[in-house]
Amino acid sequence: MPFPPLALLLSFFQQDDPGLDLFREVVRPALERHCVECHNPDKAKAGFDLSTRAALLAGSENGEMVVPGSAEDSVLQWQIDHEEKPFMPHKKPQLGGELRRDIGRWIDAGAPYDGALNRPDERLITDADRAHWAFAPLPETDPGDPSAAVAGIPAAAARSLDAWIDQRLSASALHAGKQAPPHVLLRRATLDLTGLPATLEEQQRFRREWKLDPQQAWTALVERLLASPHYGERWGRHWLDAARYADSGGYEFDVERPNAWPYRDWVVRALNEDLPYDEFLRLQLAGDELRPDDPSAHAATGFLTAGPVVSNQQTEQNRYDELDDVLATTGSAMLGLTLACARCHDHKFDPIPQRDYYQILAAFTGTERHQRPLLEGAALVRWQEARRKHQEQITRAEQELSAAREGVRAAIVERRLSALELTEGDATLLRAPQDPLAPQWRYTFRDPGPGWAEADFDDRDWPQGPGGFGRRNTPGARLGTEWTSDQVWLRRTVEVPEHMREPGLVLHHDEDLRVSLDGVVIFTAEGFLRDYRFVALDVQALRPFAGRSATLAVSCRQSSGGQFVDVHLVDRAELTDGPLGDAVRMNRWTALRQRHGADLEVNDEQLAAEASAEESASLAALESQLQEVRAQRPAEPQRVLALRDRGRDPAPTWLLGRGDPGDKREQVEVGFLRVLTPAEDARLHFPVTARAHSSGRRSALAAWMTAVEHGAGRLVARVEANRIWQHHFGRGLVPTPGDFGTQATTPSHPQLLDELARRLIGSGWSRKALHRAILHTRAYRRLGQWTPQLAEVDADNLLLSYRPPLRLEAEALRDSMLAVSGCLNPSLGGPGVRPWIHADVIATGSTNKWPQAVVDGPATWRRSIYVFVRRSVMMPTLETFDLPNAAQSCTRRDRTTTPTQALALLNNPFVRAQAQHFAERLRQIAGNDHGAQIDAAFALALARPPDPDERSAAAAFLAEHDLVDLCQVMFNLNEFLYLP
Amino acid sequence: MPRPHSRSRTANHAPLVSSRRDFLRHAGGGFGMLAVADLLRLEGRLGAQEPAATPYGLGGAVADKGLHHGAKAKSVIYLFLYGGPSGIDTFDPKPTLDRLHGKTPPEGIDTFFSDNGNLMRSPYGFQQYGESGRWVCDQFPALARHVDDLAFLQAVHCESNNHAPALLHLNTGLPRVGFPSTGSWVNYGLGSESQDLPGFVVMYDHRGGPIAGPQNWGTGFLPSRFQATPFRSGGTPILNLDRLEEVTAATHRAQLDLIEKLNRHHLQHNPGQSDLEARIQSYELASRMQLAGPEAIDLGQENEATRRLYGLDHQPSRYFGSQCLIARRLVERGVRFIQLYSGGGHQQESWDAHFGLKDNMDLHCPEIDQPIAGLLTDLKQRGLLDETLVVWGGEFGRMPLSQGDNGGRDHNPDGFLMWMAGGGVQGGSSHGQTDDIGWQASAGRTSVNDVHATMLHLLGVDHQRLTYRHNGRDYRLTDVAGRVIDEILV
Repeated sequence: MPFPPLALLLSFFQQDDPGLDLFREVVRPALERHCVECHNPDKAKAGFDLSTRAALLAGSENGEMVVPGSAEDSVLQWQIDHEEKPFMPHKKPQLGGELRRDIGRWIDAGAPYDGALNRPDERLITDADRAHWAFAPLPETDPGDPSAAVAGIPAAAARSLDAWIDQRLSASALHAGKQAPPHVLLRRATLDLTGLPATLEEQQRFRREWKLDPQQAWTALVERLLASPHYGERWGRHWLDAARYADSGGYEFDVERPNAWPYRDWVVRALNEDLPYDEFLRLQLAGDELRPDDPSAHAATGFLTAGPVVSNQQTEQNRYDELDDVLATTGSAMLGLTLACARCHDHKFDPIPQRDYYQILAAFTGTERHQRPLLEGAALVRWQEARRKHQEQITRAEQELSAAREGVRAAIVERRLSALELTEGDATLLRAPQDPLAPQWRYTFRDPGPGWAEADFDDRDWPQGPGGFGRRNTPGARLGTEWTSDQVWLRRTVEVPEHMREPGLVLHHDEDLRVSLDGVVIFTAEGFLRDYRFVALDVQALRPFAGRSATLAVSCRQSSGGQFVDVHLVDRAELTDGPLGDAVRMNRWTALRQRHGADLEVNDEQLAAEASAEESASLAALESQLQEVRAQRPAEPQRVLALRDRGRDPAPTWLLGRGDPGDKREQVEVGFLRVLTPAEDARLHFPVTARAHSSGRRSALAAWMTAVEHGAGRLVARVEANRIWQHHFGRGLVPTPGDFGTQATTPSHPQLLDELARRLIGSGWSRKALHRAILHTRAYRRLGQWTPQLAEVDADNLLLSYRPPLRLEAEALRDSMLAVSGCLNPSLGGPGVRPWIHADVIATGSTNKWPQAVVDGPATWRRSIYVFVRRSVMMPTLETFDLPNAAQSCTRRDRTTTPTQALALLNNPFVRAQAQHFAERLRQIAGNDHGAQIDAAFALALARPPDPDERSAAAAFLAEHDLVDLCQVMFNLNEFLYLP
Repeated sequence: MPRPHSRSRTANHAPLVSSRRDFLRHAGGGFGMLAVADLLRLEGRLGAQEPAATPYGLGGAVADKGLHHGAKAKSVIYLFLYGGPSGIDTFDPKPTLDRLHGKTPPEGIDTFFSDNGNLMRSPYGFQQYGESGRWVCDQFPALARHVDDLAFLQAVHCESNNHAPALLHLNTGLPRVGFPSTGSWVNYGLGSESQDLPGFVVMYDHRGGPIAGPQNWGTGFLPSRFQATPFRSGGTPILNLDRLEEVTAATHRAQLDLIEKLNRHHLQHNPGQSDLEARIQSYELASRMQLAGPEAIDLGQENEATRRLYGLDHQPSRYFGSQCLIARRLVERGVRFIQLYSGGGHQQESWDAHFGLKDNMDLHCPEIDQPIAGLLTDLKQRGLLDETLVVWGGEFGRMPLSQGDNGGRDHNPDGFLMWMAGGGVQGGSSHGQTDDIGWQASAGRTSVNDVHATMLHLLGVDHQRLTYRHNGRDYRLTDVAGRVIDEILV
């Protein structure tokens, strides 16, 4: 048998390290209890801090305190043994003999640590904390389960869920309400699972099947609804609330995010495909790391990029605020905890020390947003290759054209020069426009955003101009293109020679300069020069680019006075006059240019006028060749605003005192909530493994998040099971779906919650399986039958004794109108649409944030999940019906009742227009017969026929008013507005 | 709709009626004719010629007489300074704090950020005003002229130093979610004076609503129709107020009638659903708001002098000034409870002066000084101040020490300042005080329950008798405590 690898052996021995065991069991608690209060980084009495091993070994202001391996030589040991003053712990009773001997043995063993000591002011996590109902392990099966004997088939499964509810009902001497009639069940399930009312065809089918076998019909209906693509739109919207999804950045400028929607579509698709919930979470945290070649996994990270961002300011504080939004949202949506409360101090109520916040934050501090093309791995490489090739072709064609033009220009200049009397040297200099030191650059004066220096950045929209950007009369400037704004960004493709003996840059800058090749920074400088200068570059640094073309990118920032930038990549050994000679030559060239500019400058008009016929023809040919090449650009792929790590080794993460970036206390590594996973378990079960271009930190977090036994999986399952329950019943078993902490109300049915969580996990985290189980309960199918007795005992329906009607969410309401009117455009996905909204609402914003005078039609008659979510301009009809504002994670919507809602349904032009389409549809179905129109209106809107009273009231109305007016009435009925 | 407590139901007891009677029982009873009128109206037997009780409550007559005793005030304008304004920097300066400026604070001060800097004096100068000699900071030059109308509660305390729970505490009496707001309780007890406008209106800051949003003006377990109607914070306060051109008035009326008829029919099959009944009533109110609303919020009807009085001619005060002016117009039109929020959004956008007290107050004081002074002047000159209760305060106050060394102040729930003015309030009086540095209430400690008990008292409601039975228990706004603060009453 071969020997195990050395590393494995070592880790084996490390685990068995007696010194470490001693530390964990005896020394750590003792040091935390007796020492660290005075000897920590903030309050290091006598300059001594023993909170980490490094600090311990650094000793005090008086010198070495501990000699690892030798307690008898360690001052610390003498002081606790009261052999040397000051005796420790200071002014406290001496430590017990046994403990002191253990500390001695620990020092003899090398004084190992398994991590930093907990600070005395840090909230300690107790067994009681770990036993909190939301954190505790899920019992395998509950011995008290009234239906523990039943297992397996769906109906029995449903019964066992009911058993928990029935148990509490009978304990309160209540009888569960009756089961609802089929038309109510149909409307309830259809709206609940798809957010749309049942179609006429579905109504007929369900009625027919119900007559044959009600149970069978119900089962089949539930399956049809779960298989509908509209299911994902409905339940995806619930998740998007929690993910505070929006199509703009919020704050003052509220910048649009045209590439946010692929995340929204990914969520919808994930629901439709019943992507296991654990994988659903993992991909949102670390899809880019877990499936680097899968574009949809990159789209999933839109969860992390969806938050509001201050667009007009880049401060460290803002950066931490953005990260805080990520943590707050992750906490609320996934963990059901108010994590963000631990940003400035330990959580006031929950066992979340501030350190835990920063340890989780460490998974995100090295990340950045980027626009990821939605192409799978190989296709992405192909596209990048095609892009690069195309870029090269353009460059080549441009170079050819420009060379030809310069040739013509030179010829014209020669013709003009012969008329001037110049020395030979000056004449030569004046012929220098084709000098390789004045190339064409792509440039922009507006911040192009991240990634602009990368090779594959699309700069085709940037203007072109000759090098030497700046303000005239800046000392030493050799002006090619005027630049007067604060900052300029330049790009050009350069051929880096295969071998360079003395590579370097000839450059001139006023002021701060940054130069990179294919996104790799090769030179930076601050301040300004007065003339050109050569700076040498490291041969090694240029090696990766040797022998190929690369993008030379230059940015220069200006604060005051003159400004200028020019950069050339050169091999000094190849410069015949030497760089300074070149610089002088260039300055002389400038002088000559100024003097003879008029003669030398051949503008495009002059070029055209003075060129010979042959010259013109050859230029025209090259121009059309360039146009052809340009036209062959590879199709631009859709992108998504995704997240990635900046590299394998992110900068350190700091614990910030009081959340203040100016108060960096100590470095922290990636870690998790210690109430769920003790630090040593975290390292064992969720190690961080760096990837090719990524730190692997978020993958570790994702693994922890969904690991049931050692990680947060049991909590996460409870939170999701509760949320699903909440959406089905209007209220969760825990009424605060975003807070399962110690301030939360305990679950109304704790064992039921655990059972749901168990089933979610047990079904392979299938949400559809959980829907199925819940929809088959009797509790779900109850009639909304309220009685005075229930009001007395169960006014809030905590016991689920009946089923109150639930007002539809804003989206379901609008979608219902579109569906009933026949206008709904059911196409799935794609960029957000902007329906008509009131001009007064658009006017409230400081910028023009919504198109005016939109005429609604099929393009805007999409489901409301596809309405563009502009954080500063929410659609008022949706907002009135309690649409969340997308500023923070929302795990439970308000359901208010206000007269402004009535006004919206009575007087909003959209509602009226939909009523008109509804009326047209009724005429198509029922002709001009009032009775038939009324029947069809009730069927379409309410999934049932009118009763005689209703029919006669409606008929009396129709006798005097138009069908459109009746249709609008239908949209205002409580029965239409509520999930029965 | 409240749920009947009676366990016996008989066939001729329509649930709606039974619940209405039950409502009257809860509300304390003893106002026979009105109660009957209300019942008849709800049963549809009351003709148009009868004196109408308002559908959103029991009508004006109740308020005049009070529910349990004579009312001093009919309406409330609650000026809520979200974020927590400082008492020691506004109306209650502490000379001792000036002396101790820069010294280490006493042990045991628990702040939200746990970042206790040194004691910090107020950055503002103070002068005495009025016969009462009240000290007022120089940021409130206009409001200072009204001190003899104001009664100060100088030692209020609440139970949380965290915004959301503290807001809920001040608004609902408990620092938790799920309980009815004060405005809902008041409307439940007294109904609205207006048939055409909501009884409870909230207007929040254009920078955003307070944290916890609608829960601050929700109904909790009270019937949903008592919840506030928020007016929009930008543009027109009420969208969709005007009937569409293509719908004639007659058709519009017929639509409303048919909606109500079909909705009532639906309610019969879904008895006891408060939300459904509230929505029916929201339509009735909406239709009347269409008539009365545009006029109520039309500030164009106010003359130039009035607009200046509320500070509409100056940028910082224009926004809050408009809301104060709308509040006065709503009071004139019988709206029972109006809550205005000053401050919204985050950090310095609200009164939450963690990071630079002076920057914060320099921003916010000029926004409210002239509008509030104008409101008090205007109410007085129209004879409305006697029957309107104006309340001023936030969810807590601020600590007498600097937060770290940044010149801000952290939350202080242990002794903060509110004031009241108007009907039944003894102008120029005060109650309670904090210690010499303004940290903790040292005398006349006033709980949030006390504040609520006093507000209800002035409205003619006995806070111990305004109850609502929920889950087998009679709930009150003041829970099991509360004392009317006689010290500041006429």
